[in-house]
Amino acid sequence: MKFFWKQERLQNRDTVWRGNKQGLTLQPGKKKRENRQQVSIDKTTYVGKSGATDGREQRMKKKLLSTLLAMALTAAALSGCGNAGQNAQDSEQQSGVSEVSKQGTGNRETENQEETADKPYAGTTVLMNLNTPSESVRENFDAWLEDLQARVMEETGIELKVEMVSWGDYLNKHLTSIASQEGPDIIQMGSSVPPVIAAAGGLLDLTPYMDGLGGMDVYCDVGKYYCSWDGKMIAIPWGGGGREIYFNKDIFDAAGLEYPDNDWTLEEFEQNAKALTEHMGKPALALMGSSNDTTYYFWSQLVTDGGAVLSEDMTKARFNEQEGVDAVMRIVNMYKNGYIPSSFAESTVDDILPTFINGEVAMAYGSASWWQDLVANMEGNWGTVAMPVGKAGLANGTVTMSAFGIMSYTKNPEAAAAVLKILASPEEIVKSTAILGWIPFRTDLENDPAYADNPAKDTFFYVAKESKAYIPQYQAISTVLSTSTKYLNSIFTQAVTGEVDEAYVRQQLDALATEVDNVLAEN
Amino acid sequence: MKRTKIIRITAKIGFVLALMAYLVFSLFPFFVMVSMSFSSKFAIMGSDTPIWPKNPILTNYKRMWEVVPLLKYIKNSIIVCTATVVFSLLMSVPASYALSRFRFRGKKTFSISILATQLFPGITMLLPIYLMYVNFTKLTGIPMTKTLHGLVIAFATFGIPYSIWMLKSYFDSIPDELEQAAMIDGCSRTKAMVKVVLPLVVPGMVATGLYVFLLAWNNILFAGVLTDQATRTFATGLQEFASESSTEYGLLMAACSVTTIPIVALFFAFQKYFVGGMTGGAVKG
Amino acid sequence: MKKKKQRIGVWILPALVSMSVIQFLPGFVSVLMGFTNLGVQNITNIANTKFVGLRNFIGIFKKGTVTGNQFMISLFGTLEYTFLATAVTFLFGLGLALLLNQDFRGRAFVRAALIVPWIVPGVVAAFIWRLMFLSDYGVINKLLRHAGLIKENIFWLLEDKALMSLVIAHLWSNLPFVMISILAALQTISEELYEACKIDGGNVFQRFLYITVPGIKNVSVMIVLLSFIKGAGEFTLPYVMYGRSAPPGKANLISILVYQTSFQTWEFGQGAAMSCVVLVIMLLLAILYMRLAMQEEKE
Repeated sequence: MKFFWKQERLQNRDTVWRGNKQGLTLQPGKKKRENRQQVSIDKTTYVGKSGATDGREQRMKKKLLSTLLAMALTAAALSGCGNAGQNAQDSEQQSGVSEVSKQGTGNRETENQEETADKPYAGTTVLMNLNTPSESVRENFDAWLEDLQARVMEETGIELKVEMVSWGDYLNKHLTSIASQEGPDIIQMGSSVPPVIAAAGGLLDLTPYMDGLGGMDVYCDVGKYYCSWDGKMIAIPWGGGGREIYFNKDIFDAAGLEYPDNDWTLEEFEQNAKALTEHMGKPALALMGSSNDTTYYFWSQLVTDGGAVLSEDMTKARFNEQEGVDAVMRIVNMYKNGYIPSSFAESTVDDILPTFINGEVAMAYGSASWWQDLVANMEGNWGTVAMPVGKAGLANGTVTMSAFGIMSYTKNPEAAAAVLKILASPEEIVKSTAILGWIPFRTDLENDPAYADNPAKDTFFYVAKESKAYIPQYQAISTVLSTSTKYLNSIFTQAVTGEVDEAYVRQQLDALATEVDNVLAEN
Repeated sequence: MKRTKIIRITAKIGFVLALMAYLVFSLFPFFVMVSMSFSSKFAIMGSDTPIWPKNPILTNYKRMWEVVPLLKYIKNSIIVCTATVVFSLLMSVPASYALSRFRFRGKKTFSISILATQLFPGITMLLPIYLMYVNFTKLTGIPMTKTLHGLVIAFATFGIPYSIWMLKSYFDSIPDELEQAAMIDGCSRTKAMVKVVLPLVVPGMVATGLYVFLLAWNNILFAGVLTDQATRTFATGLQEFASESSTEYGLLMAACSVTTIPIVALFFAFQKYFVGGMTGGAVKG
Repeated sequence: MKKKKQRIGVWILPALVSMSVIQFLPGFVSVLMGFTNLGVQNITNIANTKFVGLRNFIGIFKKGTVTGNQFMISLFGTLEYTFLATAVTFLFGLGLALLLNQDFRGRAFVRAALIVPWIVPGVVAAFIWRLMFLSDYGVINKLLRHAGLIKENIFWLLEDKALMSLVIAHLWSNLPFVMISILAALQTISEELYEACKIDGGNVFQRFLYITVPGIKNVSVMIVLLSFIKGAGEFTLPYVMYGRSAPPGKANLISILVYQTSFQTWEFGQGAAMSCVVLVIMLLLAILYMRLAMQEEKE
């Protein structure tokens, strides 16, 4: 017996149904739908029957309608619920949005022209975008913002609208704002962002306002360096901290080791790692191998040893010279000796913090924002110390820094500068950075009692003051960063899954240098 | 006799095993998600953490509403996604009907260009669309960025093409003769479509609508850039749980669990109509 | 004759108009951008962009540059990923749909349970899978070690296995959709056809080959195409799974490369050029696929 199935007979609407018209009845005013399938098997025709009846369709429709209705009601209920739950600030922001779009279309009639002595900008609105802080500080941060807005209104008459943006989106938003030449007046920028925006001409030159903002001298060298472009100040340092080594005091005590101090050397660093690993019986040092922090670590290690990341005129890569190779080999050897866990090749900073908190490792390369989570969650005693020092002195790089900038398309530069003056005033800086767990990049605020709950503050201030800036202020810096990370990650992956020797590292770094040279040449 | 019985039993065991494997695969990550929602931020990682947290906490479920205005975001998401579905279906039903029934010049070009636009990575379209919106606002004064309706239109960039494709194949499965017969009886083409074919394709529309809804629900690219705090959607809002250096896994998973369960329950209640009647054909339970 | 043409126009019109405005127009602009030098220098003053001809396109393939070295790797990686992900998801989806086509107790409940991955947002799914794939602390390695299946940790997130990990995560999220669509198609195949086949002496395989397969062909073609498109444009999964930096090696899918070029270094001309190349390749593949799929039907 042979089976054959003529698919096209079924699909070809003409053939199947023509021969079967008597099976189909369509009466005017009444709907009866039947789908029939037929198979010819050895010249016998089997007709399949499946029917959708009227009743089913109607029930289906009813269910659909009721679902939609339910969803609409839920949406309405939620909107009522949501509105009740919103605080005043939120509804303020909603109205602020429409005001800003009016502002954005250049409608200056909203500005009140009357100039009073103490409210010179009455009626103006300034929009500021800030990045969402971590959950544990969010409430205090929101409270500080409310006070700030009230103070701004009182002293200058400006209505300060604040919009919170997530770290995932904020770069996209900067870009679209600049491309369309409208958006927030003041923005917050993380490390390595100011050069790109400045190169695009998106930031206002703040040099004329510097006197009102406290003068240039009040800021740390490092802060000033990362906030300038082409000889001009284009951002105001807000706060942050450097990268430090966090260490678990309890484990140090148990291993009989002394706590490191801020000028410990690279050798001492490795010795500690070795002793701790022996004591703990498992890798004692946590490093990340798969995010931009890896590149920062690599650069700080080679600079502290006397090398440089790029040549002075920024046309050639120099991180593939001997110091760079040595820096990478140090990391690889520490892994080979078992001081670093094999998971480091895939770790990001997100993965390392929990391991430190849980006491899985005794030392970790962490950032300044760690201390709050540590205070809140860690059961043991911990401390922090500046990065180990090589021949050429501390090279911390202080890359965790946020800065304020005014966008160049702003319609109210004077008003924005007035807001910035308040934002960057010592009192507000102290309040906001203390809440966020940062330290300011200023030379005058170290002894403020607001930082007293930060056990790590001494180290942070030390790092801010003593560090040399070495990360190039370069518009394509993020390309350089991500390419470096890619190569480093590849080296570390090879170390973890295979074999790595100095020749391999040299080859990889040279390939990386070629790519970076090309980037430098194009820009 | 015995042999067939053995084969039968092995087949049955194999069936159950296969089903179990699928269930475990599908549900295990969800289980991980729920168990994470009961643990504190740092209990998640460690070499000794068991599958279920040692000290489960309930505070995540409370805190998640306070940290991030989730209710508002969920509301926005529901509004935007529903509107996207409605708009996409409205635009695409006539078009896919035409693609299914008619032959016309440029039919092939039309189909291929729909395909082509979907093969463009969405990120490339982002800037042109944003600029278009901004210029539109400048010209007409109607706000487009940071609005819900602007987002709906942006979502329609994938909503309409997907709807056209999926609906076309559902229309294809309904024989032409039904409208022919109706038209012979005096209906216009439109009337025939609406009264005869459309009811048959409603389950297909439901399936398509669900697919588009979920695509819109999960979108973070457009939703991130085209909204501000007042109009943010749920999926983008979830990103607020991640700050510069750490992610609030507990809160994130709690927020996700809370929204997943109602949708699954809805599906469970209505699945007869989604699955069983998808092409208006045979129904088996 | 005229009347008929007018009618057709009316049907297409709404979709055509809306798509022209929100798809074709931006798409056209995007393609145009590929031929300009839109980048950091002129983003604030877009009127100043110049046409630079094919410079961007050549630059994509130049060896020794950042994009040059990465573009081909990403392109082939994306193709490999797309094919694997589509094939795997389709096969497992088909298997699952066949299983669920049988009647058994609790079927409704099982179906609802299997829908869950579809509803979990992509962002969260990526987070979860990353946490599960971690070599030291991830649940997968822990369970495997516990069961004695492996002695040393598997590095799911490193270069060798990165692509496979992405495929697994993709499978998890997309299995429900494939399953449901095929299941719906399966249920339109009438029972009597199977009966008839059994009566005439057909065994399981013949029933499958001659009844099931043709019955689901239409839907399968559509599903594979949709999966292909989704895979080619996959962004959220690798982006979130690797913590917003680039995944290693092949797993650095093309959409992430475009994102980095356009949104991190602000070189839109290059990003757009890359998108164009990707578009052309994917489009050719898709058309080829459609031709093959359609041709089988005509026979």
